[in-house]
Amino acid sequence: MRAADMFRYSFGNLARQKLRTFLTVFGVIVGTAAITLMVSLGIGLQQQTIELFNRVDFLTSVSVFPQKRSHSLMSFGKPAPGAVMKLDDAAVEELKKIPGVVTVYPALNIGSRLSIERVIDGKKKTVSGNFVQFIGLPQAAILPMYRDRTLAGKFWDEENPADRVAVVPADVLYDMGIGPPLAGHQKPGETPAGRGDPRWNEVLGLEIKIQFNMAVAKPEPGEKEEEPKDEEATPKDEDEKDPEVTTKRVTRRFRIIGIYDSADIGVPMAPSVFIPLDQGKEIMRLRMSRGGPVETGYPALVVKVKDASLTDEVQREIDAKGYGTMTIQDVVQVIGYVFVTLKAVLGAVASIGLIVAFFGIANTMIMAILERTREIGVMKALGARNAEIRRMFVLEAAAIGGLGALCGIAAGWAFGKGLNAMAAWFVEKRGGPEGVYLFVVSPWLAGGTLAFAVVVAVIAGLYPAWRASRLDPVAALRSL
Amino acid sequence: MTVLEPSPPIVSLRSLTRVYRMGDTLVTALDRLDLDIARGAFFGVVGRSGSGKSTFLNLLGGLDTPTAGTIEVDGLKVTGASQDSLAAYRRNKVGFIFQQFNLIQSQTALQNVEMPLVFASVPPAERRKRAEELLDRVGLGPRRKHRPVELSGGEQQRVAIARALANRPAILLADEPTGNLDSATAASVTELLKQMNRDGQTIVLVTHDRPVAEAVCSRFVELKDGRVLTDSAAPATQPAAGA
Repeated sequence: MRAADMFRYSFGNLARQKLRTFLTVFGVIVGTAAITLMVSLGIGLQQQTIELFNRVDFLTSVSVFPQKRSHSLMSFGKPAPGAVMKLDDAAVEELKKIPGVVTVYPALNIGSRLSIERVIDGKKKTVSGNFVQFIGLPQAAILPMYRDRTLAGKFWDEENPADRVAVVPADVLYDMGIGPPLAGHQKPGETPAGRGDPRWNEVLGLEIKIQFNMAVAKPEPGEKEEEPKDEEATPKDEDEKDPEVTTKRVTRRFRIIGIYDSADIGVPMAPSVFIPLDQGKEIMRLRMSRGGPVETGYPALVVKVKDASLTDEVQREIDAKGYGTMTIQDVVQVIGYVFVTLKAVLGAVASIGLIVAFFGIANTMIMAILERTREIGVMKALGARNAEIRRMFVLEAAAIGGLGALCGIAAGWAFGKGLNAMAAWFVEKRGGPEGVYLFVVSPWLAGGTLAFAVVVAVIAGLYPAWRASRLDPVAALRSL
Repeated sequence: MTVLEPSPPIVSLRSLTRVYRMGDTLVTALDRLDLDIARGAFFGVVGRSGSGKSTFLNLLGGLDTPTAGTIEVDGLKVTGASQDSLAAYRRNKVGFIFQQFNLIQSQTALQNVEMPLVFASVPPAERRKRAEELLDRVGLGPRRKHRPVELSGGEQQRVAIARALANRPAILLADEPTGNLDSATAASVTELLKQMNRDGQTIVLVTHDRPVAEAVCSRFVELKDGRVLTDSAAPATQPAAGA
């Protein structure tokens, strides 16, 4: 029997009991649509997450640590055993020499509560706000991404040298009752502010304060304590552990020269206040100066690479020097592992529908064989081989699976599209970013679901087909 | 009428025995049957129900396997063949005509006639030409697109005859081919079979209707309890015929 004839008979037989075929196919449609929808949600979430990380700006960064870092799923980012390198200014200079490196600077993240001094009713008042990260940035590391998000004022540059200045997120200010709200965050009756809104002007020039404890050696009698000018030092309790060391509260002031939108910066992190690198280094030095100079080195360095395509190479070279490294790609890779699990779980849950369809197909095939017993006898009398009978019925089952899967994948895809449109509309209406999506049907998902459904259908058809092929032709011809 | 008996015979049965198990009892449907059928014969098998004539036809057609004995058809040893060899035997050597016509309801007359050729992997153009020729030959050329439900009983049986002839079988096995037809239609179907036989086709006709066998067959045997009771080719040994 030729393959074309086999297909013609098997597919033709589907049309004989149209309602029953439709109902069975519908079972497969529901199962495969559920798989498509669920797994496409997993893919969509993964893509969105990876896209957040894959902003071009982040792709050109390599984080450098004193120790090798674990890249495995369970202990990702934890220091791995091995030699500890010192990340000092010498290391910065060493890494700067690697070809393709634009700049290297210490990762200075100084956590502190943000407070702002305002004059209210003629009195100086300090407004306290949220906990923020003060990040020291060299001018070369002010990413276009940050500049693009500047709502008012601007970052320091050659003309406006990096003095005691800061660029502050708008939402943090608004939460402190300073400045206008961003779109989507306004209270009733308030007008949201966009780029260049004049209401920002009264915010620019305000001073923010950062306070930290500075450890100082107890001054010897008669020796004058070295104290930086214009610092408000308030004596603090004696350090209990080290009677030779005392701490004092230090306040630094920064003038707001820029306001930026951190709402959708991409990577989830605490709101960041950007200050010039030298200022960050200074605070770091003061904070760490437990009676002496910086000896431990910086906790981490940031290496900026000229082009994303060079990141891998630069990372390998830094690795070879014995430092620990981590890039966004490493993070994305680990996220990939997590999403594989998520997609597997979603797919497995949705597969329950296909398991139900499995029984539907098996039932339909057994019914079809009962109905066509005599016909099977006739085909045997006309010289059909047992294997051909078996194949005809397996193919018929596979056709049910394939047909259902094609419709189901299309239905899942269309439903996902609809939900995507709804999600995008909802997010945009609430002032969120444009182009939000949740469901993505990849070619792999579509092909995999189709193959899976056909395999399930074939397995469902195996036993009925085997029974059909084993029918005794004499008995089959005598049946009704 | 003198029938030329060419040698060797197209069908040769030796000690053919078929025993069925019905619960705890054994039923002997065919009992050590020895029979030769000449090439080109119109051979009849008559007998009442339970005489073993259906078993005889099923064994000869390769649908059933004997308990003992041998079957040789057109030089092929049918007994002891594998399932696939039996399928090939049915495909290449045998044409079946049933009392119930047994056409595939979902297929047109033409497709039904083509079916044995489909199983024989004959290319579509060739098998279509052959099927159309056969339908023309049984007088149903203009009805080739009709499905069985749209055809009368006689027409359906003609389609079935065309189908049985599709692979140019060595033997045509007809099981009560006129049993479901009125007498006028039955006569025309019988005439068609006689025509096929005149063209050289060996036919084995099984019927409970002795006058039919007497009228159309060149030779016929009467079976009773699985044994040959009478043989028209050996009238001298024929006992007084019962009704």
